[in-house]
Amino acid sequence: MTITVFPTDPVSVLVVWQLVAPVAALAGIGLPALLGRPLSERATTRLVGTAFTTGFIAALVTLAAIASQDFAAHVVHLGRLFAVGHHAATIELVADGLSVPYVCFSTGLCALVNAFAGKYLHREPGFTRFFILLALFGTGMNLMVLAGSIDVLFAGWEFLGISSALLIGFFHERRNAVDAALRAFTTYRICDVGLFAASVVIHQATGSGDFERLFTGTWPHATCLVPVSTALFISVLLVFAALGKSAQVPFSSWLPRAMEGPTPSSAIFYGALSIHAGAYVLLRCESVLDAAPAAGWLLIAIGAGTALHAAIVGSVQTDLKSMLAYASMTQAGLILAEIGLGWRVVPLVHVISHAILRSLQILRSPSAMHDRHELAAALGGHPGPSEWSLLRLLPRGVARGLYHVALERGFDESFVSALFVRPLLATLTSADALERRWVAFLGGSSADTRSRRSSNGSIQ
Amino acid sequence: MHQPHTDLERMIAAAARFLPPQGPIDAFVAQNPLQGFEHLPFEEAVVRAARLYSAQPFLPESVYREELAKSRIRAIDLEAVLADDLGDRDRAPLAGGQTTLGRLHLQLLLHGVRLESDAAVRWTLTESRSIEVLRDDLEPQARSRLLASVGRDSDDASAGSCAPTAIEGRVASELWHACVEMTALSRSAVVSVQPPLRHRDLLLASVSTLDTDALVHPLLIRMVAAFLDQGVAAWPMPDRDQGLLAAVAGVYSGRLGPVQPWSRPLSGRLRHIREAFDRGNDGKTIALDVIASELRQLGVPESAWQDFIAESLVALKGWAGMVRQLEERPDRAPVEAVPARVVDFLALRLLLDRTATEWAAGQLGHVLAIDDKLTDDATLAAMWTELRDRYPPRRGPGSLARAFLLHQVSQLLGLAADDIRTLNDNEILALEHAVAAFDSIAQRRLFHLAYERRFRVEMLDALASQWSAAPATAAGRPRAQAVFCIDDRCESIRRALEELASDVETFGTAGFFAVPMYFRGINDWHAVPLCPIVMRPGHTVTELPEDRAAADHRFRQSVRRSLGRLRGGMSEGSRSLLRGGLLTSVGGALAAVPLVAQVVFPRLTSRVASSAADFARRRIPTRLDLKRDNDARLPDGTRQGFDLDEMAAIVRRLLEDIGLTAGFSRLVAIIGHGSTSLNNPHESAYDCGACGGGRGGPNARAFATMANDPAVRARLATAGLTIPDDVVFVGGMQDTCTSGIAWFDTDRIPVHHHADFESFRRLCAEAGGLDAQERCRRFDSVPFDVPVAEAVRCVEVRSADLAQVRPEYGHASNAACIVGRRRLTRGLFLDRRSFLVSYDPDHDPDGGILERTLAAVGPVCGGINLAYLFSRVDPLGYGAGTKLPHNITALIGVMDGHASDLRTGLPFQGVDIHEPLRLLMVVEAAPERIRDVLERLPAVKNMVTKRWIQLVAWHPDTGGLAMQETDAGEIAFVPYKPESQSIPVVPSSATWYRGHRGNVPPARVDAGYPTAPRDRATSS
Repeated sequence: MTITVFPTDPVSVLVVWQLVAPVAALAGIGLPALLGRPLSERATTRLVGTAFTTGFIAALVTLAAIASQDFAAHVVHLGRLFAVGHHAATIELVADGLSVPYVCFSTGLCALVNAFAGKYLHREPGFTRFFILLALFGTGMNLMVLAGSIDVLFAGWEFLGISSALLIGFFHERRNAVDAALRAFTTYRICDVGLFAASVVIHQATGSGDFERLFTGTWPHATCLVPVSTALFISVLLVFAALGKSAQVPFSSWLPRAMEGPTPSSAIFYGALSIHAGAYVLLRCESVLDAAPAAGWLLIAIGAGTALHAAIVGSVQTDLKSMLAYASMTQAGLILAEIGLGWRVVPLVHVISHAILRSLQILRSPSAMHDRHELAAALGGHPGPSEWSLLRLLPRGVARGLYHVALERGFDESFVSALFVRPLLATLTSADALERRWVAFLGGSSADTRSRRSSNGSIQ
Repeated sequence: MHQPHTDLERMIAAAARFLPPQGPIDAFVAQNPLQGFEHLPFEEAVVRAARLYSAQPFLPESVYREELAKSRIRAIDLEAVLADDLGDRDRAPLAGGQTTLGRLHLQLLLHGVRLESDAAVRWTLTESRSIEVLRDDLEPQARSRLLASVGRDSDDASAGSCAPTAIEGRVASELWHACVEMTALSRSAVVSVQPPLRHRDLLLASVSTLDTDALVHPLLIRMVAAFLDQGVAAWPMPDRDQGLLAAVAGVYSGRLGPVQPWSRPLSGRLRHIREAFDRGNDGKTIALDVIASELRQLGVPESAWQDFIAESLVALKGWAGMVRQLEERPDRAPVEAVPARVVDFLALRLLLDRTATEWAAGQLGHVLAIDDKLTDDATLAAMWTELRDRYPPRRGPGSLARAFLLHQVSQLLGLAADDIRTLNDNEILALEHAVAAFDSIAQRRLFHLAYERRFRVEMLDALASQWSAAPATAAGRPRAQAVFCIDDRCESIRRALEELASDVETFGTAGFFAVPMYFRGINDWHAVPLCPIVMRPGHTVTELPEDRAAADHRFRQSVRRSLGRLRGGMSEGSRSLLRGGLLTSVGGALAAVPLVAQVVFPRLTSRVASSAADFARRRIPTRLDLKRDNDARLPDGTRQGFDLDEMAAIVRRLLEDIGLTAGFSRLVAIIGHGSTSLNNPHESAYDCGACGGGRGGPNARAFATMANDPAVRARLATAGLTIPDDVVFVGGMQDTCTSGIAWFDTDRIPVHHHADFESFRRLCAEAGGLDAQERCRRFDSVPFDVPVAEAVRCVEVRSADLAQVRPEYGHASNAACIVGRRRLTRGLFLDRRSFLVSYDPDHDPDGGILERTLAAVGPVCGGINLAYLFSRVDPLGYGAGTKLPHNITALIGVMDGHASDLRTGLPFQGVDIHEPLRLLMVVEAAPERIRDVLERLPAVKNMVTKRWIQLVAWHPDTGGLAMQETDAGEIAFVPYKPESQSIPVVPSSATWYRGHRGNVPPARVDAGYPTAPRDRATSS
């Protein structure tokens, strides 16, 4: 790995700062904690707050700078991971009309959540851990958004995934929380295969992970540089990658279960930022999607299906956080469908707008009783169910059936266990049985001793 | 099929008593979570309850040890409680007469021993040298005795001088060898444990990954939440009006979709139940039929049904308890009553349990190899019996572990190797047995008693010294009199008022001010009960706009309705599909304004919002529709308002209760309380307990209006209670979160009282500032030297901050309740730890007033105290755990995350500074009087004799204190001898508490006295 000369032009410095700030915060609170002398609560929130606020300001200035140049992409070359012949994996950041507005809003939101959580988590045993994860999340987010190559994007994507899963399992003494974290993590890992495969294909096709070699031009009017078949392949893989993080059908079951951590982390991750990571990757590579219309149709089908599923299931949820989770899922589905339709600026605005609104709603969710009473007082009575009057026109049996499906969340759990978990377990079990038989055959020993041997792990 | 189920119904009713008494969270009333155990003595009840709920009976031992290290618990407390506890056995000889049981217990409490497994001891032996040194916390005489033992052998007279460590090592090693020898031969007993009843617990003990509750609970929670939902879901559950069982049978009996492997048979089973409902059978009978048949199929013998049902209900106690509450008190449902029935819940639960257990039995087949038995109908019965037989017994500690324990105990007792070797087997066993019998729970119990004793001694000593110091009578007519709630949080503002103005008198009475009513405010959509939870009001009071403002009010209402519709539509729409897409993409970014404002500038935002709200509503002058002239009943069975007789009775009752029947000042303020905080599902837990988790302002206002009514006064005068014409009552409400007081009907104060009121209002504002300053000492984020203005700002921000999980600390310091004249406690710094109830024994010839006072105060204060006690003792088992993952469900409660039991009790953020102590209730009355009164109050008497409340009589004539020490269920008072005669005297409250975050002992505050105390000789 080689690091080139550190960039010195002002815009590059600003872009790099957006990445360095959360890393510095991470180191600043992580290292003392590792040494067993965690910082005080006040110092922790100040450090993280300073990092995100300065990152936010740097992003705003960068936005002004690149806006003055018609949003032409500004590439910062940081170094090279490795190079073999024509093949190279470089570390590049790119500031353009997509990444900089995105950093502005994600860093700003992180700064707000930091301010909120500083008071919310006061005297909580996991205080430092929460802020370490928040800084890790901010690092991953900015790395993913500013990535100028698929490799850097993948690294950011992974930081995002691990910090999300750890925050779902924040209360690790509770079984539900750990189960939910494991479920989210597994879903992420399955779908990460898509992104990883996409990066392999991109490397294969262009000899590099750089987006410059994949498409050229100013976002959102870039042109794809790879052949249609490759573009379709990459697109499908990217769509698959997006399904997990954006909680699309059939990978949606983790999202409502993810509301196990502290409220501020639920707000920022599952209402606002994590859930839109998939949409961001697709927007980043929009020219590849453009080159492969079939991928667009796939995206529309999945997005619209998810939106419909989540809207129906969400309408029977009886707890605030599940209801908001399905509301987020509905919008995430719509956003993917919008991307599939070939729109670019609309989904970007939709992402940012939706994220801000949903964060506010989740942060305020403990006020639900208060808000409902205020509303009832204003209206002179509790608002009855009005939305689903159409549904009540259905025959009673059909309505009951649909209600059943909705209350069981579209049987997502059964689908996942029937489609993935049980086949996987069966495969592993039979592989285990096969190995035992094989060992027994090689060892020529009796049935009584073989189990002991295999459990000792020694074959000879 | 249709045999009567009276026995079964009785069992279910008995089992349901173990469910938490908490109702919907929007009217949180603090109550004893162990109500089902109140027939038992406290110390026994907590242990039994801990077993049923898998909770902790006392704080962890480590917490008590910290308190011991901080001298919050002292050695003399431990000695005293031990002497009480052991009685004659205190001096029972142990170890061949070398020590006594009392000494053993005391040493174990003071220093503690480590219980280690054999493996851990083996590790200690090989990897560390701790066996070869003596403990460093030995008492000097034990230590010198141990060291001297070597001197005896080796003629080394000055053992300690030459090489102490070497000698110490020799003593310790020799002792260790002696302990090993003495324990090596005998075996510790194998204790067979009573196996659990529920199949789930039995299965889990066999296969640790097979938890049927983990299968059943998510499904059951979804079903019950959907049934009870008060309006979160846009699409309500079909057929809710027929009850839980019918609705679930309707929804889940369809043939749709794949289901979990375990729940496949469920739809068929539910279809049978559905058919029973379709035939028009009675819902309750169907449920009871299902329960009986499920219990039989689960194979539970009828003799065990009662306990089995209790354990099955308690397994999801929050939800089951909510079903029970809504069955018993449908009027407390926040929006609409649903036909909730515990039998429905139980039937569903057992049906799901059986289905999951059958599946688990299939899974278990190849693990336990009992599948050949799992063929006939008696499958589950066979499995139940088999698993109970196989339930693993608990083995006692191994011999190394016993030697290790004996080694520590011998050191604590100062027994050296030779002393141990002289014992015979029986003596060793007796010693070991005594140590084992004094287990963790027994130790924590005594720690708890000592913990309570230290507080009790401090408090009673302060009261005893106060007796001689209190002035005989106040001089002259007071400037003003203020009646507050008995709430412990009101103690500080009362003290502040008295410190600021020596000619102000304060009183305390239950904060509904004897006005039980359903109240509907001008901005409320329905009437809520404002009275203690045990009462059902018979009257409804409505707040109406004054006639001159009626048109204005209508206009504002319509504006408000339109805004509300818009806002409701927005929040509803943002969650729907198409409108949501449009709304979030177009308007979502606008949410950045409130998001930034509320998170970064909470106080400014709340100011702006509240001035907007003021504009929208508050400026409408209103009155209470209080007077009733007809006898008609409202649809809910209550009457609109009160008639003259009722009003006169209310006013008379309250004034008699607090002993204010003469010597009125020109201004009498009646001040209720409530609390405002944002983003806080438990907001109503901070409101007034005497108003059933509501706000007491309307009651204060109603009382003041009644007492000002000339017709009421005329009626009172004829009955002998004269309120002079120049006395004006004014109602107010204190916000315990912001410490501010809002006043009602000030426009009706007569002109010649304006100056009195104005000066009193200013005084109250000043006292509110001192109150805020005193409260701030508890908050880590506020420096100790915070000035008053800054303190007021701090508490106001807390009330308005979305992110603040500790807006105030509620009753988190409550520990005592003093029923008596304020004269006796005035000037005493009680640290907001005491409920103060005004009661004048001189005006209560027959004990009638004391009776009704104790009848109200006992349950309210006892309930609050025990709710806090248990929520602190076990924040997870009895409390609601940390607030951070709380998730409002169905508008009736909170869950942890997306699918947990309803969390009952108080959140940890509300009790983390609480000291769990049973209420110390001091009643200023002669012991015989109290005994007579309690005979007429069986419920309160039970709480006292079973020691859920510590009762002390304070004799009004002699000032002697007597502690109730019960034996055999009868009240018996034993005189209390103060431990110390002096109490610190300080110039002001602030000088005493400043610089401390924790609790501060009582002190006498000079400034609080109306006149100079007679006696200062006792001051230190």
